[in-house]
Amino acid sequence: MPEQLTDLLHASVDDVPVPHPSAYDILGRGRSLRRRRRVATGVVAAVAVLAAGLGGALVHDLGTPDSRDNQEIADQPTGGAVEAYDQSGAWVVGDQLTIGQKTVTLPQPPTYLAQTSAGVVAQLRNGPGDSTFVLVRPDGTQTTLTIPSTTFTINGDLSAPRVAWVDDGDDVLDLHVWDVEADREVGNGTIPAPGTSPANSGQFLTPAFLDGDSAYVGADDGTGHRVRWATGAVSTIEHAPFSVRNDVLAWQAKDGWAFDDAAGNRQLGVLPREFHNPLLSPDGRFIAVARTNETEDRIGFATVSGGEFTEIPGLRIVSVWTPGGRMLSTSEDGTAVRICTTSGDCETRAVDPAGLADNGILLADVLNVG
Amino acid sequence: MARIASRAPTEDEFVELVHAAWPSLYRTGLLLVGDHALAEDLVQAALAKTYAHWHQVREPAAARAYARRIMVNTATSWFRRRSFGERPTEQVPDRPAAGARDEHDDRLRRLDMVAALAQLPPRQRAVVVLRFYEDLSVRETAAALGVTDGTVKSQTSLALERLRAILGDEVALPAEGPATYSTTGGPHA
Repeated sequence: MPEQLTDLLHASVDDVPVPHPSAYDILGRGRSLRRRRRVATGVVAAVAVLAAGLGGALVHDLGTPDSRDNQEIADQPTGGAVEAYDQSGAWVVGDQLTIGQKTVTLPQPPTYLAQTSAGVVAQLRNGPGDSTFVLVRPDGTQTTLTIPSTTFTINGDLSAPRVAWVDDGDDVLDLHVWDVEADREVGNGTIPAPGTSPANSGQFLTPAFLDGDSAYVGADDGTGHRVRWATGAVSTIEHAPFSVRNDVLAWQAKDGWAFDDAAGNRQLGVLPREFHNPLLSPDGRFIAVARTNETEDRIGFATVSGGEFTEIPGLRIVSVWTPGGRMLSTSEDGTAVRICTTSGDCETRAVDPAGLADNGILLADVLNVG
Repeated sequence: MARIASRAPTEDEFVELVHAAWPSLYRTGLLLVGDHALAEDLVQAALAKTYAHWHQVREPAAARAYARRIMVNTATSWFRRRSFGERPTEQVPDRPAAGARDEHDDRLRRLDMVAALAQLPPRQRAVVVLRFYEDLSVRETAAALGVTDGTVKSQTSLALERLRAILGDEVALPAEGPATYSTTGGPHA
């Protein structure tokens, strides 16, 4: 009876109770993967920016902007390129990059912007496996960096002039930390990752979260590693990081999200599973997060310590932090940049309509995958 | 001939895929990892990875097979990175009988194949599940696992031999042709 094994296998599992899937949990997990997925060969970033990585298609009916819309942010600085960058961050429309209050022209439209304390690093994709990285400072000056052109993408440190990335090695991940002001590698580390092979690279990005003198890298089994990049010392951490800022680590728990001190000694707060994509603020006190019900995502802030969720109406789900701790997003229709404080005051910045027609808005720290 | 859609599928179509594919993926995942919580996590991970590539999908009807392949690859990755080695037991545990119509069927139904599979090395387990539960051909199984046809045949042969030892003569298992051992099976062989 050749089919008996088949019958046995079916008899073993076909009547087991199957838990109900949470499509929104899966979407949230997929969005975070997609956000960090390596920019594939042949990506046309221009067509992607409006839909941008995190899945804006699920954002429906966020409501009209409230009365705070278009208000000037009370403590908006009037001078100082660095302060303007800290508070407004950076974005690009086509080849026009805005950093703080300054707009400059890049040699070509970038596919990615990584914010650091020294400015934003623009990734210009020349072709498959060939990128140029340009540091654009808050005053608009540009320096082409010597980061290896084969680097797929980078992660920046909002509080330091550094970026990091990992390369796939044979059963290891090779971490690199680069000082963008000095334009040289300042640290590295070798992280055990059984099953990793250079031959299989290019599928999914393993993000390296830079936070001061440490970099945090997740593993497929839900654990992670902390690398003291100056010395190369590697230690195992209990949970794979989703976001790390100022010694606070966010990770996805079975029933939601947890926020620990990065040393893993104590839990600082939790969020239930209706929240998605919690991104820690530079000071580690707030979370920019989407809250999902049956039909829609609402964007807003919560405190790490478990405070109330404050919705910010009229934002798309693609929202990131500026170095100074404001939420950088786009308007619901994707035609303007919105910058919001944690108290909910928002400023709207217009962008060049001609550039929008062809490109849309690419925010810093958002990886579009086409 | 399948028509190729001119646009990427929508997120609503992805949600439809999740609900349509979840039960069968979950059961396959349960056979692969042998644990309900791990199976749920495995299927979630596979579907999330499928979503990460969703914009590249042009034929939603093929997405379920694509998700299954990602799930097998994810499980294979887990096998390499976690302690998913075989779990030797003295005998195959029984599971509660459910509506068995005769003694033979009752005995078969009480055999816990999940526990039996758990005693196989991970690669053999995956081959058995794909070939005899998912009903894939040798070639389709090889493609799903990223190995050669010969590796699938040899692993099948070894797996059946081991299952015979575990399950005893009471269960007739399919005969497998002469094993073809690959010497160039690549990194997954």
